[in-house]
Amino acid sequence: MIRPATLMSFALALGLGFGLFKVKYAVQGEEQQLVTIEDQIVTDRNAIHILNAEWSQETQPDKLGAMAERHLALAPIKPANLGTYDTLPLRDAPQQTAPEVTGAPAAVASAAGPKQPTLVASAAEAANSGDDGAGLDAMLTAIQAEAQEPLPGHGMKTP
Amino acid sequence: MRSPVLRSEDNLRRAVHFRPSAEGPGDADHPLTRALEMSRIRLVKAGAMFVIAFLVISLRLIDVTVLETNDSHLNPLAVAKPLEYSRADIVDRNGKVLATTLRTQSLFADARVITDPQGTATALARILPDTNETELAARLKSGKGFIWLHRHLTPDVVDAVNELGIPGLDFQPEEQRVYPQGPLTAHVVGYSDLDNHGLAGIERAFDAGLAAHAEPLQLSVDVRLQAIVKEEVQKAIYDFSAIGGTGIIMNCHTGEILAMVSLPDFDPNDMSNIVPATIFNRSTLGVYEMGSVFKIFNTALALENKKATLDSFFDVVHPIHIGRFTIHDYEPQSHPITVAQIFMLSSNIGSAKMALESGGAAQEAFLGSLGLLRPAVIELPEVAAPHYPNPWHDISTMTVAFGHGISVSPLQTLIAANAIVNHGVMVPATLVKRADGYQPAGTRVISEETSFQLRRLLRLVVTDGTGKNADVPGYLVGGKTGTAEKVTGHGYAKKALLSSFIGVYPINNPEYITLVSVDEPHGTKKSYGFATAGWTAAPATQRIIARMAPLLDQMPITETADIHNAYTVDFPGKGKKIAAD
Repeated sequence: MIRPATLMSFALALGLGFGLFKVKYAVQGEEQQLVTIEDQIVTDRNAIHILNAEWSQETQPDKLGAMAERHLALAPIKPANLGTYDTLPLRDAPQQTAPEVTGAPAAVASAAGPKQPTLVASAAEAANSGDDGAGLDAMLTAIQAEAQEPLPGHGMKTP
Repeated sequence: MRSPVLRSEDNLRRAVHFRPSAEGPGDADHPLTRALEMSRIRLVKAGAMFVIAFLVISLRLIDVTVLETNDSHLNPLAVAKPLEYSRADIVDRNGKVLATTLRTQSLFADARVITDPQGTATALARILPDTNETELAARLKSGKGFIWLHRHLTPDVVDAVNELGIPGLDFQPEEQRVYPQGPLTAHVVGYSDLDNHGLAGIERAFDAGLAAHAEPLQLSVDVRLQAIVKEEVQKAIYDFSAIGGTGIIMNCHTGEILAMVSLPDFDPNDMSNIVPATIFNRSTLGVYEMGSVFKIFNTALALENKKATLDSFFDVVHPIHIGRFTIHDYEPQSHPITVAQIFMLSSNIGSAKMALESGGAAQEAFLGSLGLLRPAVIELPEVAAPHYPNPWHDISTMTVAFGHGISVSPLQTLIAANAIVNHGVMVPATLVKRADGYQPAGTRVISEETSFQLRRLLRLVVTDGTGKNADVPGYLVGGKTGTAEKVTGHGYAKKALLSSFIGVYPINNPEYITLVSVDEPHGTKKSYGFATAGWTAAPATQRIIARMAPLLDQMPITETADIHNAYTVDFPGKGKKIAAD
């Protein structure tokens, strides 16, 4: 007759053995996966390393400048292009600012491209052609011309 | 668990000497009974230990299988090892890679194994760049065990060589230093040899550190500003048919060099066809007579020593003859002028007379305190020692007053000028990025008041004097021109000039200071034939500041009446300036 204690010990040993077996194989599997992943990480890091170098080379300022000149209607920012929300007029306010800058709104109207670059570009052109104060004014004019559509920064309505 | 009560016939395997006596348990004092009692206790103890051990194992098993406690700290395997390169990267202040190490393959041959040297040479010459078939054949016939055939091959060439399948050819994995920004930061970053030893610039200065650490070295330089300075100095060189130029931008408070350009420059990726003139770093290794920018120091000395105020008059009508030298002015005056006018009109005669007031010894000590009599302190090996008069005669005192007879590097001129405008505090310059918010303590060289007066004068030069072409509306630029005649053989050459401009903005609390030098510019129609600093270096500075300020998120400053009045200098003949509204 098998005593309950012996039976229990037997069952325990069996259970433990099975558990240990499972854990061992699970660990082996995980270790293999770990090696694979580590290899992958090394490969990826190497690739990132090379890509970083390539990125630095491809984004050389003069290269970017030449490409921007060729493909974008953007000009380098001039001091006159800078302004804060405080210097912008309220949208509801009557058009008390922005002296007529011929060309700038027209450029906005005719341009089919994305809105923001057009604004800056036309403002920059205006700044090129006129005195330095005209750049910001042109920008404001352009923004007002764009007022039918809400701009990302329309929170300027609240002072 | 087994009952502790002993049952004699239960266990036939019980050790014989444990068998109790036939009489059953005897009295406690019997030796047998004592032994029995002791062994029972031992048995229980041992059993308990085993039970505990099993319990621990089972608990741990439950822990890892069922509870899956996260115990990654026990397993260092899980941490992937960082990539090992023999040399750390160098990056700019925004993390853009300036120098990095890439793995490449280098081809070598074992000539003892090569069976057909001529055929191999023919095949290789077709694949390898810049190789000569006859030379290759000669080397392959040499019978040596190891011959470098070509270092640092591109992957496609490696594939092509492998396709040949010639025994005796093999690759050695190597590392190659690559400079993705090319010539842009060449003089700062420097370059290294085939075996990755730094030979110049930061590469050389930090050679050991770069080899020992994996972390990239972050420089204070900003490639965007570097590009702007290079473009604008290049334009000045081109416009005025000059032979070279320099441009430096420094943060007034931290001493960080944001840009340092020396033109002509070179491509550190291709060192095979380099001319020495391009490797030469004009900013630190070149020493020049900087000319009238020295009047910044001369005026500071006179004001600091209380030998003059902005309103003190000096007679500048007659040229000074001393020995075989004559000191004269570009714009001769017919009456005495004030210190402010001397500075604004850049009068050599007036400056010489001001210097004599303080004397040579004081002048020498002052220039020494500004670091102008020893090599500039910067993290570059290419730093030249200045040349200065020894002994320091009166004639030296007079010429040094307007920047002649003393040769210093553009960088140390900039560092010294920064001490004057930075509220009188000299901060050490650095090419390595400082921690955010860190400002070096610095050393005071002149009083806050003298610094303020000098800033007024620098602003005056830009609003009314020789530096008008440097003004950028909204940024309150101040500055000083300096046009020096270069020494050629015997004496000074009228046509060979070094035109420099030191610019600083905003003048009420300087943030950035710039220096532009143009070497041997020639006048053009546009500059009315002038090649002086006001026409060459000042406009370049103007373009640099106009482009860098928006890039650095600096809002234009409104010149309030307070600022305007504080930085306006009155002098006879000019009339009172009306404050801006």
